[in-house]
This record gives sequence, C-alpha cells and structure tokens, in this order.
Amino acid sequence: MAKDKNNASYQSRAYTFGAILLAVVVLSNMALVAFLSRTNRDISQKTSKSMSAVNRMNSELLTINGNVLRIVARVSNDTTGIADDTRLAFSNIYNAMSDFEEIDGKSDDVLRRYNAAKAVIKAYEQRLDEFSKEFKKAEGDTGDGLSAFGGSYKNLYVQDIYPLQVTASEMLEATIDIVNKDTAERSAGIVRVFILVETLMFLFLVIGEIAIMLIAKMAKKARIDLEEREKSLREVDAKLKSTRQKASDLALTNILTGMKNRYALDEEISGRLESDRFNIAVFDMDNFRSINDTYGYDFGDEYLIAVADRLKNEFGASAEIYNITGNEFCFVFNKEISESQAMGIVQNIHAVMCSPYNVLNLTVQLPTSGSVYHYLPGDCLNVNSLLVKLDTALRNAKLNGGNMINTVVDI
Amino acid sequence: MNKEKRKRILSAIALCTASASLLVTTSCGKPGGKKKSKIAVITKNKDVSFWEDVKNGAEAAGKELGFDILYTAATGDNDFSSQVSAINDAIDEKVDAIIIAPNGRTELNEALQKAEAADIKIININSRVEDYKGSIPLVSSSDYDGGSVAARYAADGVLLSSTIRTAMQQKGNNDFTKIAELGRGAVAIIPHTATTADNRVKGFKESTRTEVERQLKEDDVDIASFNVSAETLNAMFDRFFVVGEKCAKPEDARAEAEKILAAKDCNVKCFFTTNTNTTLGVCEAIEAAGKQDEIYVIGFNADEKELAFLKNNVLDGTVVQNPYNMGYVGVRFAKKAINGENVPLTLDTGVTWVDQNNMNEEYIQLLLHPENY
Repeated sequence: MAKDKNNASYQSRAYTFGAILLAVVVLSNMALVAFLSRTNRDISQKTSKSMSAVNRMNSELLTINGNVLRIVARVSNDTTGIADDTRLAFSNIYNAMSDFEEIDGKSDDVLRRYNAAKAVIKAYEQRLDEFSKEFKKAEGDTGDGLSAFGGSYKNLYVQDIYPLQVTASEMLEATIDIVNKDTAERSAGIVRVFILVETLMFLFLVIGEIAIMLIAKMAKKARIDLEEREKSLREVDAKLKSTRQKASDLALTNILTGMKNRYALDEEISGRLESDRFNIAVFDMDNFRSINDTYGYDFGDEYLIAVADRLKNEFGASAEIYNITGNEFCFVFNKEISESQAMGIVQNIHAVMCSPYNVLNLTVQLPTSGSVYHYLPGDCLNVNSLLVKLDTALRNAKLNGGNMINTVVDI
Repeated sequence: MNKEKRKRILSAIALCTASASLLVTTSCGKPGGKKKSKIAVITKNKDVSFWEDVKNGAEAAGKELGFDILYTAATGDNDFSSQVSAINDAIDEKVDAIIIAPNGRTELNEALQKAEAADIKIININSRVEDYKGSIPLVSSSDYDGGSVAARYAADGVLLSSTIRTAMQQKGNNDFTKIAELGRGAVAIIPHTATTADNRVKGFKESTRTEVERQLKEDDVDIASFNVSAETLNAMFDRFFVVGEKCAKPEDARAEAEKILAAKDCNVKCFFTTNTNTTLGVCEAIEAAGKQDEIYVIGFNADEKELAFLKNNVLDGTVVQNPYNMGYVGVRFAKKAINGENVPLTLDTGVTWVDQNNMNEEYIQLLLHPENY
C-alpha cells in the first residue's frame, strides 16, 4: 500500500510541475508579446514623428527655393510677399526642428546628419538674407534689384544658394534614411531578443519536459525496485520461516525415527493437563542395550527404525506416537478412544513390539514392557511428573521380570 | 499501469505540441538575412587630402546605409590605367555599384561599359566621362562655378576698390585706356595640370570681367558705352590676366610665381590658383617675398597647410568644395540606383568662399572638418 501512495505522489508532483511550467511559459509569452508590441508602437511613433518633422523641413526648403527662383527668373515682382512667405517658411522649419529635437532616442548617425542639415539650412538662410539685403539695396538705388547684379545674379543663385538647398535636402533625406534604418535595426533587434527569449523558454520547456519524463521514469523504476525488493524480502522471509520451521521441527523430532520427541510431547500436551482426560502409554524394549552391544549401534538404529515404522503404520491413526528416548515410545491416544479400547490397543502395541523383526538379514526379537495411564484432568502439574509416573510404572514392570504392561494407578 | 503510462505519454505530447506551436507562431515574421552589398569607390590621387575626404564621406554613407566600401585611389590625376584595373577588380568582386572620379575623358569608357554589362551601377563624382553610351549620374561641384565664386568674392577687394576704382574716380569716369593700363597683368593665374583647371580658370576669368563691369557700372562707368569694338574689349580683359605654366607640385608653382613676380613690368595685385599644390606654392612664394599685404592670394581647396596660410594672412581667401559630400551623396545615389529608384542626373555639392571673416561659421567648419560632425 505504501509503495502505491509514494508512486502516486511522485507522479502528481511531476504533473503539477508540468502545469506550472506551461503556465510560466504562456504568461511570459503574453508579457513578451505585450512588451514587444508596446516597444514597437513606441518606435514607430517616434519614427513617424521624426519623418513628419524632417519632411516638413524639406518641403519648406522647396517652397523657399521656389520663391527664390520666382525672383531670379523674374516670374513675380511681389518681392515683399515672397519675402514674407520665405520668412514664414523658415519659421516653419525652425518649428519642425524643435519638434524633431524633442524626440529622444536618436542615434549618433541621425544626429550627425541632422546637425549637418541644420548647419546647411542656417547657412542657406544667412545667404538668402544677404542676398535679400543686397537686392533691396540695389532696388533702392536703381529700382531694379536684379539688373543691379548684372549678369551675376544667375551665378549667385547657381553658385551660392541652390547648392545649399540641395545639400540641405540631401542631408535631411539622409537623416530620414538613417531614422528608418535605425527603426528597422531596432525592430530586428527586438525580434532577435524575442526569438532568443522564446528559444530559451522552449529549451526551458523541453528540459522541463525531459525532467518530468525522467521523474516519471525514476518513479517507475523506484516502484519496480521496491517491488523487487519486497519480493526478495518475502522470499527471504519465507526461506527464514521454512528454515526456522525446519529447525523447530528438528528440535521436536527424533532424528533417527522421524517421530516427534519428548519436547514435542511436552509442547503438545502440557496445555491439556489441566482440562483433558486422555489415555497415554509408554513402551520400551527390555534389555535393548544387549542388541547394541551384540550387533553394534548401526544395527540397533536399524532395528529401532523398523519398529518405529511398524508402530506408525499400525497405530498412527489411533494415537500420536512420540519417540521420547532411544528405545522408548510414548502413545497419546486420540480423544475418541475409550479406556477399554485403549487397553486393547496397548495389548496390540505390546504384541507388535515383541514380534520378530528382520534387520540386516538377521531376525531379532526382544521382550517389551509398557505402562499405561488413564489420565484425568489435574492429575499432574506438568509433563515431567506425568512421565515420571509412567516411567515408574514401566520400571516396576521391568523389575517384575519385564515383558508386561503395568497400569499407573494414582495412589 | 498501461493506461497510466498512455496518459502520461499523451500529456507529454500535448505539452510539447503546445510549446512548439507557441514558438512557431511567435517567431513568425523575422527578417530574412540579407547579404551586405559592396560599392567600389575609385578616386584620382591617393596623396591628396581632397580624396581622403571623399573616401570618408563614402564610408560614412556606407556605414549608414549598410554597404561595404571598397576604396581605391589612383596615383595621380592622369593615371587612368590603375583606374581601369580598379574597375576590373570591382567587376571581379561583384560589387553592386562603382563610384568613380574619372582620370580621363574617354579612356575608362570600355571598362565602365563592361561593368554596366555586369549589372553594376555607375556613378561619377567630381567629373563625368565623355562620349559614353548611356547616362551616368554625376555628383560634383562645377569647376567653372569654383572659378566664378573666387572671382565674385575677390573682385571687390582685388581689382576695383584698391586700384582701378580709385584711379577711375580720380581720373574721370570714362577713360578706357586707363582701365586697360591699370588692369593690365593685375591678376596672375597659376593652374594645375589636371583638366579641372581649365574650367576653373575660365570661370574665374569670365566672372572677373562680369564683376569689373558691374562694379564700374555702380560708379556710372558703362563699358558697353565705350566706343571700342568687342574684340578690343576682349583683348583688354585678356590682358588683365597673366597665366602661368601648369604646375603639378608646390615647388613648381612657387617657382612659377616667383618668375612672374620677378618680371620687369610686374603689375600683379592678385594671384589665383586652381588646386591645393599651386595654392601652397604661391603662398610660399608670397610669404618668402614678404608681399602678403600687397598681393591678394585666392586659393583653391583647404587642406591644413592652406588653412594655416589663411590664418597668417598670406592666403586671403579660398574656394572650398565639399568632397565629403561628394563621397557621401555618391554612395546615396549608388544605393538609389541599386534599388531601381530614380537618380538625379546631377547634384551640385556647391563651392564656397572661405576667408578669415567666415571661416569660423558652423557651415564652413562643417565643410572644412566634416569628420567632426
């Protein structure tokens, strides 16, 4: 149960992380897009302001040039009107200049070209002013301003005035071009930053995804590991249990005959002494030691095994049989077997044990004594005293010549 | 277990798709990479600061407009062969435009035609090639105007107020012979060897005459009313000028000026020179002779040495072109041509009179030191 819970929390954590990651990416994208559009709007506003200011200067310059041409080409004689118009045009130019200068964030290149244009425009205005003064003076002197310049008025326009105007216009155009280029560069820069951030975010996301997958994988692996460990633990546990079982079995079994031993007897009936009534008997062969002495221990062992096997076959169903010492067998009769039945079976046991056995191609037969006890609840405090009673009765039987069954009688 | 796994894979795919689509939609519309175009700028003489200014202007425009400028300068005003090889190099370099100040009237035509056949735009600066099939935009200042401006600004101080005009007023107002006598050999001209000198001299001479006529008229002396033929009048004005040998180096110009000053009948009140080297030579001669207060020197261009003479009163005035703008506008025109926009056939970058009175004005400083702006 615990492992499932652990695993689930791993997974849910990974999913939460994924959700947060996605939210972060989406939110930063929204912020970035908002920032981008605001910056772009800002830049394009500045650009269009700059362009409009510069265009105004340029168109006023063209107006002025037109005015000058009208005088030089003698298209108009309204010199005062033209002079007023020109003054107005210059004041418009200066307004446009202050508009332009108010716009911040202009690059050095823009300022450089603009300042050049401004210097040329100032020179242009100054030159026109000088021209107009000379013109007025000449007009005052002769009544004909232009003819006072002789043939040189054309030179004056071509050499002094016109180049200044075209240079100023060219510088203004250059200013606009650089403003546009700067705008394009800044936009491109923003896009670059944007792409960079997007890429980083994408990488972040991919790494996050990979992390989630790794976490999920690790969780899975951890789960499998845990399962495997638990499985092996269970196996170890089972092994341990069976080993312990075996050990305890060994402790409660007579190794030679495979029958339960005295400890088993102790364990199994000590709980019954207070409450149960049952029939119990012990038997052993008289003078078994002579077999060992005569034929050797191996032979004795084989003999015992043969006896035990027969006892198990014949009486295993009616009694629990214990091999409590070397050649001493104890029978605890089943509950349903009555006292008289038990006495019958005891006779049969005696007969079986006294019968001849063929061991290692030798036929041996030993007289056997036994004692039987019809146990009543509370007769004994423990198994040991029970066995003492039985053994005392058995010894009495043997002392009285053996090959007989004695009954334990409570005195 | 299987179901859970499928659910996890599905969610991972969903996340990936969502993020990928975000990236794709937001990174749309990025500008495509544009390769940087090249423009070749070929000038006349690598040793003359005028062409350095052209180069600076071209490079400034190149930087502003995003062009690589490949600059080559020939070894002198008549060295068209290295210009031809520079044109061929430019063709090999696959430039988009060639801006050239041609050393020669027709010698470059073949190479330029070849360049044009390779879809390279041609812009002339300073002067135009002649007999060329097709039209080439020109960014220049007029040499004639340069001479003319020199005459217009100088005439007042040189020819009339100090000499002729005073004499005329003393003598009475209509003495043709007196004008001829006072004006004879009053103006010495020392031209340089390149073709540009001719028009400068022409502009200077013609405008000097116009100015003299105009100013005499202010004193009610109308030359047209003199009872002499046009030829005689032309001859008189011609004799106003002593034109020296064409000189390439300052020392040649100095020698030439010294020769003129040493002449027995020297009546020189004014020198006019047509480029930096002749100006420097004449200034050296005048300074050496200690005649800076007597003789009015009109120079051409304004390198640092010339400006030093201007500050020392040896040089009284000089005609300044706008080489920086020639290079700058040349590249701008080239860009227009490359983009298929309409390019004006000519642009006059102007000539400007510079003397001690105006040399600190902002516009003049812009002309003299464009790199400071």
